[in-house]
Amino acid sequence: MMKLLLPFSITPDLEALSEEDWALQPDLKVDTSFTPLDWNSFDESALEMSLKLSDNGASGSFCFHRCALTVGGMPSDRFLKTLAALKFDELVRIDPGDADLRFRPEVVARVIADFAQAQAHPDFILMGRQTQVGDNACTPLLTAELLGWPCVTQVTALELADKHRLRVTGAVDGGTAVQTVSAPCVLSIGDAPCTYLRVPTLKDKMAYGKKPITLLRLSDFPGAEALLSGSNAELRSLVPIRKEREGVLIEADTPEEKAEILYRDYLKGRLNRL
Amino acid sequence: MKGILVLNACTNDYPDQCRLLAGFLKQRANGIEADTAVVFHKEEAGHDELLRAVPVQKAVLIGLPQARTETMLNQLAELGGSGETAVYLFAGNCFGSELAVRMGQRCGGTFMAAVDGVQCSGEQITVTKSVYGGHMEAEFALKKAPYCLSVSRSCAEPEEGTGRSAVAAEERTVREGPENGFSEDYTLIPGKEEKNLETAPFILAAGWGAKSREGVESMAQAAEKMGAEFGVSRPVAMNAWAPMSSLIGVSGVMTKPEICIAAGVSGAPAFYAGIEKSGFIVSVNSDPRAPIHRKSNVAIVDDWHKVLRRLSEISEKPLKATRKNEE
Repeated sequence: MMKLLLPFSITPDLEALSEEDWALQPDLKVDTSFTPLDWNSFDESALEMSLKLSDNGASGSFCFHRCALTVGGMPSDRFLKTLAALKFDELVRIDPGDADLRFRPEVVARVIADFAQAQAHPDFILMGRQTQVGDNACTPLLTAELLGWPCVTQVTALELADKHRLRVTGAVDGGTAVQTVSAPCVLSIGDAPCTYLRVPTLKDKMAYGKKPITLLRLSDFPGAEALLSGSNAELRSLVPIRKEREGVLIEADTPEEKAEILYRDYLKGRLNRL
Repeated sequence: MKGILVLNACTNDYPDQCRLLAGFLKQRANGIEADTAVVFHKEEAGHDELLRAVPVQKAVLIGLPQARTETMLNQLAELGGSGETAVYLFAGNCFGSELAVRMGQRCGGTFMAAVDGVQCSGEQITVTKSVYGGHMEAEFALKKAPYCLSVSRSCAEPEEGTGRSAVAAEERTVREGPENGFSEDYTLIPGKEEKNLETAPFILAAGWGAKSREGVESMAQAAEKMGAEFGVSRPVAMNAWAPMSSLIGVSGVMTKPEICIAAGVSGAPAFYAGIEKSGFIVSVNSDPRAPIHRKSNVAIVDDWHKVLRRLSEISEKPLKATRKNEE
């Protein structure tokens, strides 16, 4: 059996926010509490790739043990229940309480590393390369460093090589690297096409969806909690980024007429000068 | 504050890394005096050629059998562990983004990925970077050296011809140790450089509004007819409606065409970063509230399919045909 630990995060739909919604609160936070939540897209790829390992005919009856772990509040439970219905074996939520972890990847990495060492004992940790709010792009790398494990980044495809190893494809500068990787290792998932998380069947939701979620608190991880008292990178300010142009609207009765105006008034001269 | 550039000459984007970091130092960094570059290279690489591209005075050349980050990290940890207060700058490509964070952690310093700017004043150092998916800019005060920063690929205009024939301050060759024992059969497959999005003067970019593989193919045909290169946003590439090599944005190609038509694109910052240096942007999206309209020079609120079909019919001199005739 190969043990996989899958840390994931959920994210507010930032594209749903209007310009006014980016007004800051006094504590340098943006109120995203009213926006819909979704999987962090890179973590979603990691979760789906872990399931695809079992789909592959070559894996035969080989058994994977999947433990999904998230650091987040109660809204995360809905997502953990989806993973339960997808037959994930263990579901763990670590409640951060009031801690602001947006720009604290070292705290999240410490939680993941401590959980891996003390409880999950995984062969591989699969996680997305970055979250959307913090844009830190650090957590998998720090997790590997804290554990003293190697890390393969920008992973785009996985296959089972044998009962201890995975065949890993990843993007590197100038091409693609393919390698057979032994446990233990952290795999940081990048832009992996066709890895939207599958939808559980109604039957599986009924049969597996009520699996209990293990709830832990940040205080259960003293090493991580201790890091909260100070950061090597302290947030000083947040400013909305505005990148606007003229946005001249072409108006006409039909799309064809609009295309003609676009070509005649704006493109023809520019194309001729190229 | 002392600055040290870290460059990876094992990959074919080495000249781009040099130009990006030279541009960053000139345009986006204040108070950094960078005079040294650490250059990882393949053993067989010609040192003179490597040194010509280095945008600072001195270089430490480190020869490797293969471009493996674990091996590079061991070297960097040795370098950063000296206790010297310095800023290490890495290009924000795959290698640089990984090495900056892991080196910072390994050396007990401060790390940050995709930094847009650095300000140093005495021992004080602050950096800016985009957060919230590109909607906000954050400023951070960094507290503990060494400061290991990877530089955002879109923050600075690359500096051309900055190579000043650096002097090799040190040359060494490193044998691979046990650090790569976790990995077997490591094979590097060079990417196909079929597309020329980075330098294309005219681009048609397709977004999620294409709705299907057929929609994307229809847009690609319109691009072909108009003589434009064709690129896509991340959702399109993630659905495998177009190859990853055509991905535009922070995960893909950063373009700077004279003209960019963004069709069916919402205007999410991660995508827009890839076209923001365009000379002229046209948006075509049936949703009048799509943010791309405010970020374009000219906007059409309508069905992209009909607009592009007509546009491709009336484009009199397709650029590609003109070029072929000239050749």
